[in-house]
Amino acid sequence: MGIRRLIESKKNSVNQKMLHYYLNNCSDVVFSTGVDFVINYCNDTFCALTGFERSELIGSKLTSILDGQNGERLLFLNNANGSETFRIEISIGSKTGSIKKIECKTSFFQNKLFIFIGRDITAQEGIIKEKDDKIKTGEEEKARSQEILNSIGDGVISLNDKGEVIYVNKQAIDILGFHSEELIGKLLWKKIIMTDDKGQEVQIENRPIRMALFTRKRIYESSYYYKSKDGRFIPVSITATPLVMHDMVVGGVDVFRDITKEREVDRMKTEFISLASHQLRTPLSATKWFAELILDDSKNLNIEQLGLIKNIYTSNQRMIDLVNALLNISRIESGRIINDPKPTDLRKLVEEVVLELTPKIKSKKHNVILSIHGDLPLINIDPRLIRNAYMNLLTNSIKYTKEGGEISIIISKRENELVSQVSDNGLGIPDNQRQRIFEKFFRSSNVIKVETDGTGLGLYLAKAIIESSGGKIWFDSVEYKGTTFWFTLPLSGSVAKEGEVTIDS
Amino acid sequence: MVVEDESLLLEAIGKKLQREGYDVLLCTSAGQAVDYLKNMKENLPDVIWLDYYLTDMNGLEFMDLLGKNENWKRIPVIVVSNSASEQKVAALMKKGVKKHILKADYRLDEIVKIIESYLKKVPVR
Repeated sequence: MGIRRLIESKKNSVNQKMLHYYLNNCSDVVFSTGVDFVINYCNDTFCALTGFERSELIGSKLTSILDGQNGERLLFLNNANGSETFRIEISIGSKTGSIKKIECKTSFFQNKLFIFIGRDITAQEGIIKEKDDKIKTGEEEKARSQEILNSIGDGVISLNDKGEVIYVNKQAIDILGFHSEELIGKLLWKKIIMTDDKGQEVQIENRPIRMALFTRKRIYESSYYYKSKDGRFIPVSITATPLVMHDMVVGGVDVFRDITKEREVDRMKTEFISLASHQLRTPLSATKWFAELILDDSKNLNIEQLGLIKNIYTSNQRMIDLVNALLNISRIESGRIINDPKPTDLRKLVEEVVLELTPKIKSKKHNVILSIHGDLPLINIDPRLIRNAYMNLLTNSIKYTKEGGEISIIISKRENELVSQVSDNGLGIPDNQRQRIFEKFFRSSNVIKVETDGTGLGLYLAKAIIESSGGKIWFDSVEYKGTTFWFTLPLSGSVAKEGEVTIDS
Repeated sequence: MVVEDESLLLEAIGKKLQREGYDVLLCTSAGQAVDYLKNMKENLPDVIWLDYYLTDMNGLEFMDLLGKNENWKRIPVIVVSNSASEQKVAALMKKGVKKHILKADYRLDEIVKIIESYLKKVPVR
């Protein structure tokens, strides 16, 4: 006897109508089966959920619409007795093929009837699964990040907005010697001491990570040392990055690298340069001086011999120039060159350079014009470096301009910079080689033909010097008409830079 | 007096100075130079041409040795070397070196002129 019959037996009752109405309009699914699990009642909600017509459901076995094996779940209902209720979850294969999950409360009614009242939980299952997946991907992502952080060679310390350590990777632990438990939750700038190259402790407000959190900018710093747990001072290169979310600083990341080895290599490079310069200059000096001694005594030579010795002298001199240029480049590239700005009178500096070059200028009968702003202020630059830049530009002009050429040097003042211009009416730079003119060892095709002597390093060096002094350098040129180089120097002066070596020493 | 451990360079310097009419005392090591100075007593050299890197000591150490003797201290010293850092030159000057010259950058002619300029400054004894 199904519910329908139960209802129908009291047909006339308003209560029965109400019950009927309620059963078909409630959001719960309601159905019943006999002890043989043949469906004998179902409400509209159940029909809607499964997609079957009521006529298709009534009289068929519940197991026939269950998905897969979960019919077994019904078996234990056979052991039910009395008015026990059970909570079971069943999956139904709907008519459209989709799987519907129903969480049911099942009661055994009068030993004849199983009544199922349940809710469709398919959607919830989906949400839970999605949530699980999300958690899973989140965990995977975390594990992956952890693995990446532990595999990279740099130490990584992550901080919250207060500066307390919330994460330390393996390398950071290896470099600093602290255990992660000793650091987590502690203020980084209290726990790990940082010193400068003089051994002075770095003020908290100057610590890169503090600055990063405060200024919201990424800070790079490679002149400081971290003090490890065992008291060693480790030179580190640090990148401190603030984490900004929704315009709020929520923390920061301190990534650092132990640069002990780099320092060591650097030191070896310095040593090598000094050694090489010493070793090379000795035989070069010997050749230079012996050739000079022979030339002193030139009355004993015939013209051919004199020419040959002069060639030896010139070639040797070229080698000396090359060694000097190479040394200068290695000094600039290694970043060890000193930039020691002093208030400098550019007029005086240029005049001295011209004076020094006068023998060369005279031998080529060039006309040199100097035009310098009448009220030139002193400018704070390293005179040795800037002198070298002028020297390189002017020797090029002298060398690559035919006899009797015109070379002009103009220094003018702009709002916040001094502009130097060096022009000639010489060979010029071919159009297709303009791009390469500042490259190391590059010499343009037209000058190589005319003048074999040259290192291809002068302009490279000049550019390096001007840029490291805070200026810019550029040029314009028409082949066989002439070339003009311009460079600027900021009136605010160059930034001093400590180093180990000076140019030309 | 010329102190230079590279015999070829020493030979070139010696020849040049002799041609210019100087009495030259050639030393291949600092030790040799000091021995000479000890034996010379009063008749000390007018000027010393000193290479920085010597086999037995460097220029700074040689200057320290000169500094210990009141008479040696007065001899003008010109260091002619292959390389020079700012610090090294400053240290040398502090110890009384008159001038520092980079070898390959100068002709012998030019160095001789520099030497002569210091010779004139030596007080007549």
